[in-house]
Amino acid sequence: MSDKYLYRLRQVRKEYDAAREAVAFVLKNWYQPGIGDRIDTVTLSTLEETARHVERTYFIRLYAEFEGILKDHLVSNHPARAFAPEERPRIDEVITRVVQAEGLTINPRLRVRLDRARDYRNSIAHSRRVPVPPVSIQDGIAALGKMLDMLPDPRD
Amino acid sequence: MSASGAFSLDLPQDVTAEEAVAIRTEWQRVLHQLVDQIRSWVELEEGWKITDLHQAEIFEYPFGVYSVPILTFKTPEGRVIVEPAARNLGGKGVVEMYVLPTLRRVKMLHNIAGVEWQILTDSGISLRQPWSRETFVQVVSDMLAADL
Repeated sequence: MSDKYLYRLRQVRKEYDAAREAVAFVLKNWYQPGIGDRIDTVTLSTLEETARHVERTYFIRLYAEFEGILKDHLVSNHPARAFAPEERPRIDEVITRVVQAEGLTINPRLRVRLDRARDYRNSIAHSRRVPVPPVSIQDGIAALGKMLDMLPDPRD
Repeated sequence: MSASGAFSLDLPQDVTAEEAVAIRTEWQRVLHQLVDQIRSWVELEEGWKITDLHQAEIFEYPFGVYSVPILTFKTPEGRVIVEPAARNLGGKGVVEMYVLPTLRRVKMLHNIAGVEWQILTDSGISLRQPWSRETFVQVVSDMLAADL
């Protein structure tokens, strides 16, 4: 189990916490002296839109970190199976390669949760019209964390 | 933002350096007390075990760099970490308690409206239960059970 990888997910959540709380604070106090009147380049409506989207924005960031961790793991622990820098594999290919390299078995329940997280990430990234059930950032972290917990630490 | 690219913060005008040190020192005392309390509760639970206790340095404005205890214990259902986050000048001390590998968590807020430790869920809801061994065990068990 790799706490180093979980630490990377936790760092993303910390940034998400900071962004969400900062935006919420400014929104709540916009009309207080020294808040909205000191912000020249952002409108209140843009800030409201940001607040609505901050979780899904960070879901993309979270998923990118997860993908990066898996690729880094191949480089550090299975260099012969690592993707070349110019390759752009789909996330399913990355997961499959890591699973095969480590000889892992992903239970069906976790598989479903990983698929939901991937589908939601894709729906945000590609603005698909087909509705996909949203996944909260915490549920995303839990699913991705469970997968990462199956990996050994990276070899230095 | 300064010319160097770093953000500069205005010093709070109503807090002297000496007062900041006093607040930080008291916060560290509270944290050690909390860790001792949790250790004693963990030792009373069957199958629960302290696996690590170490000091880590954190930086927090305006207190500077200071050390805090980070406690890890394991239960049959998973591992749990108690990690101080901040002692904000607004009067709130914040400790995170989270489980691995799902990172489910609660925040424990110190000294809110005279309450020693108030538990805040990730959705921002405060638990009404008083801080006690029973509450602690229940919260840990609930976090661990969320993804079973």
